[in-house]
Amino acid sequence: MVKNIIISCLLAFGLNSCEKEEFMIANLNDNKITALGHGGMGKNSLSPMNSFESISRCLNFDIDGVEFDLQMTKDSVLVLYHDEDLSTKTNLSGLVNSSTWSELQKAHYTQKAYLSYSIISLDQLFTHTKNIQEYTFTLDCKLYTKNNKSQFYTSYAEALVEIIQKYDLMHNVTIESTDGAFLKLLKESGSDYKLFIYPDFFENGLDIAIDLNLFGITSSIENVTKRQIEIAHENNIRVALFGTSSRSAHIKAIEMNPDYLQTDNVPGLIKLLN
Amino acid sequence: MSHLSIVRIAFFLMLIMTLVNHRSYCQSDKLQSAKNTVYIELGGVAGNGSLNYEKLMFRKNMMSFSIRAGVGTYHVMDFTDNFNPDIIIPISLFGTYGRDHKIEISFGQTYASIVKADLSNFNPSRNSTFHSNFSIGYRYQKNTAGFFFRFAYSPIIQNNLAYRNWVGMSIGYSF
Repeated sequence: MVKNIIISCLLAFGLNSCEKEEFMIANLNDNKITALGHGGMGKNSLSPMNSFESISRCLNFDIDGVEFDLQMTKDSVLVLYHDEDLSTKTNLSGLVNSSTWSELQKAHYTQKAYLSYSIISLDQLFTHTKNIQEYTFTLDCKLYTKNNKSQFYTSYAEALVEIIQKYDLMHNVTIESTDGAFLKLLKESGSDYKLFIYPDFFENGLDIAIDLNLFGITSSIENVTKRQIEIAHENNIRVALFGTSSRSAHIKAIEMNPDYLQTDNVPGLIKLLN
Repeated sequence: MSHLSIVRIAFFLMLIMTLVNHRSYCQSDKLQSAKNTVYIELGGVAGNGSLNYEKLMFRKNMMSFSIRAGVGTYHVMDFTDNFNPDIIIPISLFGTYGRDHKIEISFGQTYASIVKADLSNFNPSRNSTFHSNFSIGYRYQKNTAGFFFRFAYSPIIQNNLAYRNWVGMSIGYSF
């Protein structure tokens, strides 16, 4: 009796695992979802988000690209780091924009015991990642500074444009920011970058995206509905979602028809989309 | 820890337990004192977990001293997807007091050999460091063969400088 129950359970589990999902994707991205690793392998990964190790692990999968966070040092070097203060994730403290690149090279991540990975620059990432032209890179521009905002934004935009041009990645990068003023500055630089606003509320983002004629809106899956994504698409605005890790969250996100999906579970999303 | 490494550790533990079981039956009739323990530790001094062997060195009344060596890992494959595991080896000296229910204290060193990007060329490079470990906690362990359990506050003193609060739980078998 018990044996039969166990066998039935195993069979049910096995059949469930083999269940194939069928998706009818309708979006502005040729009806395909661009799959990106969130900060590399995602926030639940052993390797810290934005580390070279995490991004490389992500790109080893059959994935379209990777999203990462970008900040600018005091001497205008773009580096990959998420938080406002260095002390939350590294052995240093203070703003990235208050440190020089030389100082930041002494930083290492402290999230996991013994795994003292380094902070890297965007230049290092692009130099040492193979076949960069094959990938999509989403650059989440974090604009933390204590200095004059206007001057900082200008320097940041110049550094960004310079490095994108250096590696000829104009068509491979999407740039996202919470600040419309920064995106407007990039828009005015004359190049046709794929710019995404990352707003607190989707409706606000849609207004800004339409007003500035942006490429898209970035949103957490928790803060948007399928209908809102449809409205964005009706206005020729793409949508990038993040905040998915479980299989059910991935399915929910895919069924909302986003154009980009930044996942915290790279193998899980790849398995579903393939 | 990746699923692959968890499966591997579980496999080795099962293998060892199978061998241990055979031997412990031989000993049970004589009720010999158990001098060896194998256990899996979740969390603890190796970070995410480790497989450990502990050898009883000395026992008098309710007090005993033992030495443990373990092995743990974070990644089995490096970031270029080649087999190149992180290796973490904790070695500790334990002092325990009690009959079946004991309090324990330990200290030791942890050797960590971690594969990360060499910043000169961004190829995988092995980086070896030593760290101090310390623990204080509770353990259930009979003096004869049988089930072993421990739970301990086990901070890691990384690079012998940075103090990191941490805990560990162990389950195993003494023989």
